[in-house]
Amino acid sequence: MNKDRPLLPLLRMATRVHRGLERNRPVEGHSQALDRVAACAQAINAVARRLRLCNSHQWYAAEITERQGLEVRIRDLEHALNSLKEELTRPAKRTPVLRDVFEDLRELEAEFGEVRLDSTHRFVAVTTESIVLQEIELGRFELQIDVSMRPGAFPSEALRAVALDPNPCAADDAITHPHVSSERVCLGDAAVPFGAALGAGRLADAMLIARAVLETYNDGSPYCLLDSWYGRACSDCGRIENVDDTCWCERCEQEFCGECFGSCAGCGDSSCCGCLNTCPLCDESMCSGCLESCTHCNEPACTSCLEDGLCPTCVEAELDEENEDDEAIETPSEDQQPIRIEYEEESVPEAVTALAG
Amino acid sequence: MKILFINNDGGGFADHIEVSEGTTVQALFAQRIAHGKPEDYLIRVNRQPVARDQKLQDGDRLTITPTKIEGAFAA
Repeated sequence: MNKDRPLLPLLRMATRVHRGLERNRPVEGHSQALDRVAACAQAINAVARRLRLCNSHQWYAAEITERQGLEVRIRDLEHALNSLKEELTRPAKRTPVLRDVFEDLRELEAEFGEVRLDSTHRFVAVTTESIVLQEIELGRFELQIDVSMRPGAFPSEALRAVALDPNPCAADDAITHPHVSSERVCLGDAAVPFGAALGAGRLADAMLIARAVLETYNDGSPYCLLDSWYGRACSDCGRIENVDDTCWCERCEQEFCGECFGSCAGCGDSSCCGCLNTCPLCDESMCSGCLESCTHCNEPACTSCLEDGLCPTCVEAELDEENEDDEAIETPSEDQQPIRIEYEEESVPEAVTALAG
Repeated sequence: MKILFINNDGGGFADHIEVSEGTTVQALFAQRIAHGKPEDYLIRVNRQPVARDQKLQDGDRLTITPTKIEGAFAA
């Protein structure tokens, strides 16, 4: 700790920070838990009144429903009482006294070399050393905590990480660190201890926790994998891939990841899934060159499913028609029977008689 | 004797705890952070870095903060 630095500026800063913390003292956890218990008790009273009414009027069906409702309310009350018990065993959240704030700022100064309060007296800020993860230099970050913000459900909203020597992910300028996007830090495992530190006004602890997140790479869930830091985003799903792993679609002239890229089952040409269509008959992916329409019904089908330009349904219909025509030729109708000519005996020519004989 | 113990690993709460006279920083760390290695943590007594064999005193403020915590991405 630099004992030669004058303490007065730090003391002035501590006074302003303390004022900000005092103004936004968090609501006591047990106070909220008590309110919940009271609300549950009120709900139980209401159900009890209805139950007595049902009982007195012998409304048995309604009574069953109310009893079920009462069971639910009793469970709610049990949960609320357990939460209250937990809150009462926790130390009360008190705004730190001025001395503690002053000591915190001194600790930050010792740890980071300098601590600043912006001109609006809202943000306490420190600067980290240059962060290097897997040999990628991400530069220094200014960590800012908004002391005027009341700690709520999302304490990470009070924290910002501003890249001072930005080396952002190639696919998105806003991602300056695997766990920082648009200056917001996604705290992950640090969310709970950070929230506890901030809620108690322990600024030094909160800053150290935030720094620990920046110095750790979680390849399970980053905004951008370090392996793909210099990669490109898929034009379809947005996933960031290494330059070597992206696929180029000649049809729409855009870049895609492997998941969003395929090939035509007809001609084998590769393109993105957006430039491929599915043949409704065989369900195969087809490019626009291999997907045509039936010349009869105009329904889409691939060239493999079409027969002489007709879909199977139209082919079958045509065959049925031809079959009907053939049947008509083989079985002539009554008005098509051969004409029988009857001759009287004496009129039959002699030649015919001779032949018959 | 009583000390203020701030464990920034996990829940991050601050509690006053009873410790026996003569308990060293290393011994308390081993009791409270059984799964961790001291070199992966910032250990401060009264906001100052300390030797592992330093004995704790009544009223001390002991803070243990991991140096590596996994962040994530907001969905």
